[in-house]
Amino acid sequence: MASQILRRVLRGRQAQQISTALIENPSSPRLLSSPFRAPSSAAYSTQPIRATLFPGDGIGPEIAESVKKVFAAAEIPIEWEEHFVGDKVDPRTESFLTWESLESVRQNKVGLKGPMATPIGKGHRSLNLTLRKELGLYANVRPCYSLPGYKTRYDDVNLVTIRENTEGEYSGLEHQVVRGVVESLKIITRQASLRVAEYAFHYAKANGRKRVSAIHKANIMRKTDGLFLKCCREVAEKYPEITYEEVIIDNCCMMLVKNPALFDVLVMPNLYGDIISDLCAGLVGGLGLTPSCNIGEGGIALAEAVHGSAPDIAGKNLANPTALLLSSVMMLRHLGLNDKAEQIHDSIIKTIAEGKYRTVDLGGTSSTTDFTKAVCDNL
Amino acid sequence: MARRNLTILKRLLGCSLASSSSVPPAPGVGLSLDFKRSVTYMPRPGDGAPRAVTLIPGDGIGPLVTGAVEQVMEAMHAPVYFERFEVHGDMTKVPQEVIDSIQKNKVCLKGGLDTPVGGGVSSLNVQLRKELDLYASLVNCFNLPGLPTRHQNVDIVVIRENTEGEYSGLEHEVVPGVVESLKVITKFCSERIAKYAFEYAYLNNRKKVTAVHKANIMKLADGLFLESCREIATKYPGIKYNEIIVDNCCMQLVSKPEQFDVMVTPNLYGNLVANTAAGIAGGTGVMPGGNAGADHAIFEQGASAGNVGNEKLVKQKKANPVALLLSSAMMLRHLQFPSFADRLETAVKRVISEGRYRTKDLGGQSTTQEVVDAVVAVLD
Repeated sequence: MASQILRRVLRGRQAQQISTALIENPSSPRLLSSPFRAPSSAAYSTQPIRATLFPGDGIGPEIAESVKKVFAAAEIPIEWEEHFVGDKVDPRTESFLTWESLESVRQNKVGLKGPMATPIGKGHRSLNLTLRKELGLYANVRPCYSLPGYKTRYDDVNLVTIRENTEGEYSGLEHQVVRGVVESLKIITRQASLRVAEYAFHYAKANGRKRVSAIHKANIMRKTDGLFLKCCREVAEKYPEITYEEVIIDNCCMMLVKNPALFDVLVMPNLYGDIISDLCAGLVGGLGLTPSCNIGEGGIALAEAVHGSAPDIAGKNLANPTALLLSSVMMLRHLGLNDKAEQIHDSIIKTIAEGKYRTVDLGGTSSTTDFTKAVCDNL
Repeated sequence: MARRNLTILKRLLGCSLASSSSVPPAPGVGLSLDFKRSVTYMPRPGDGAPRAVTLIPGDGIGPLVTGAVEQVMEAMHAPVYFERFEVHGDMTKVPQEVIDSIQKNKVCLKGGLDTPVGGGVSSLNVQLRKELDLYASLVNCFNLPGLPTRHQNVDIVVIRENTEGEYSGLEHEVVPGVVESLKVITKFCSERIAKYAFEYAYLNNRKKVTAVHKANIMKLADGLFLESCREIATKYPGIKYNEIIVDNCCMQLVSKPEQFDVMVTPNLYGNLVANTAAGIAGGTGVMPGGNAGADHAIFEQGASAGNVGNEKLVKQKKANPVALLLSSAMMLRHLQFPSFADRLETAVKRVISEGRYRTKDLGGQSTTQEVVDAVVAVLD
């Protein structure tokens, strides 16, 4: 009993050490060496890191299996703690996610989440909203880069969108003033804007990115987006080596579809971030290939696959696990296991570039298991 | 001589069109190069009297491109004359004489007005629209024949609600560091924009109207918008209606734009979708558009990005006049001068497809004046 407690305390302290590194590096050409690399690979070869895994619904369990297989083949020292969405509403969280699941993420500090479908109905919060509120996930990071070998209309995309995830237009505060007139509140606070701007610049510096662009509509929404811009400017002054610019959102949309190579790191409030990050995902090939990571208070990182649960192909071994695999690579980089992350990342890129094993959505005929096996073989 | 060139050009383009795309070209492509009198229009006696149109040159590249329109109108001897008014983005409000003139003339042509970012002045563009109650903003995004783009078969009309929504301008600071902005959606405005969209589709033989929204998150506000659209859709059973969430919409626009026809959106999403659609179809420098209300109409460059341009463009005089020229063709049709509109559109499309006189945003090196001269030379 005492030894169990001692082990849990030690593990907690190690997890804290890893999370304070907060290094993330999803794009292979700009690899930075993590200061924690040497001790991490030595110290954790015997001590596995615990990470929470939410397989999710629909195709979730299949692609989670894929990730587990690839990680096992690459000998990653991660111990998965699986949690499933229940079928009863947990009164402590007001949703189908149990308190234990959330506690496990809080303790482990890292997690990987598959697609979850919120059941329709009242009396409970949406699953994504629950995760976001309970874990304080304030920034959504989505790197979008063209996958070599998978040709889309755009070949030179290499940007990262960082979206403020808690307030803005999605505060959910709406009311009907009189019949036929509805008001919806958009809230921007200094605290949340500073927080996401800080993370954006920190991320840019840690990953060797040269430029951060703040996207706004402050010519029309002068006070709200004006406050967001002020906070970004304040943080920009602390990082003089990073170029900072401000782009109005309609200009940004137009430039993105004409010449996406113009952008590097984009930081935006909630609504614009939602739209722009999906637009960028469309540029590189769709949600089935896009990794994403949510950063929370206290260094929590929850990597997730942003596509839907695709109930029509669930269980048929047709799903494309690339998004979840790339998100798990982001998770590894966050943990500081950069060499392993690089290995898996290169293997995925190589498999897709070769073109022999491609799932149906990419135009091929392979099954999930075949693709996974190809990735494992390429390690 | 011109006719021989025309047949050679047609043959060349016919070959390139056939080999490059396996789907039939966008409607009107073949016709626009081969000028036939497509209108059998019987005017009322007296319709040929010159009409007054208010002209607002605006800021930046505005004076350059409105000057281009004036030159082409002169060359065509079109029955319009312009009443110029100077309005600049740093004025606090639109001068009353300008509003009076537009109310008298009912039609206005305008260059871009620069809106200072984060400053104390509210946008003059928005002010004009609210004063004159121009509730529908229309942008027509289509592939121009001869202009290479990454996306083919684009022919989208974005109809955007222009007066309320996120641009209500109602913001206040609750406590220091916390700012609120109100997004207002009313049934009245949503209904009339939906009616305009379906009416446009009906009058222009469009097959599908798509409503763009984010009602999964903003359930009451966008929910009200959707309800109004659905009600109006039932009155037009011949037109297909569907709904799409705005982030999915942007993703589909960059991957499969041919699925969209007419799109109706609230204010902010309309801005984003219009600029994205304009970007994929050739750039905001070539897309025409306008703002329509019950009594007045203002025509300007369709999508709002880049309508003021930057200093370099102004100095080098290399702004793209195509958008405003095509918008003035829309204006001529609005004024019921269809033959002049056809001639202008044909000339502009011919110049673009020939490819010798193109401004920088289309990949060429010409100045505005060179493009205008080319259009005037090709006018029938």
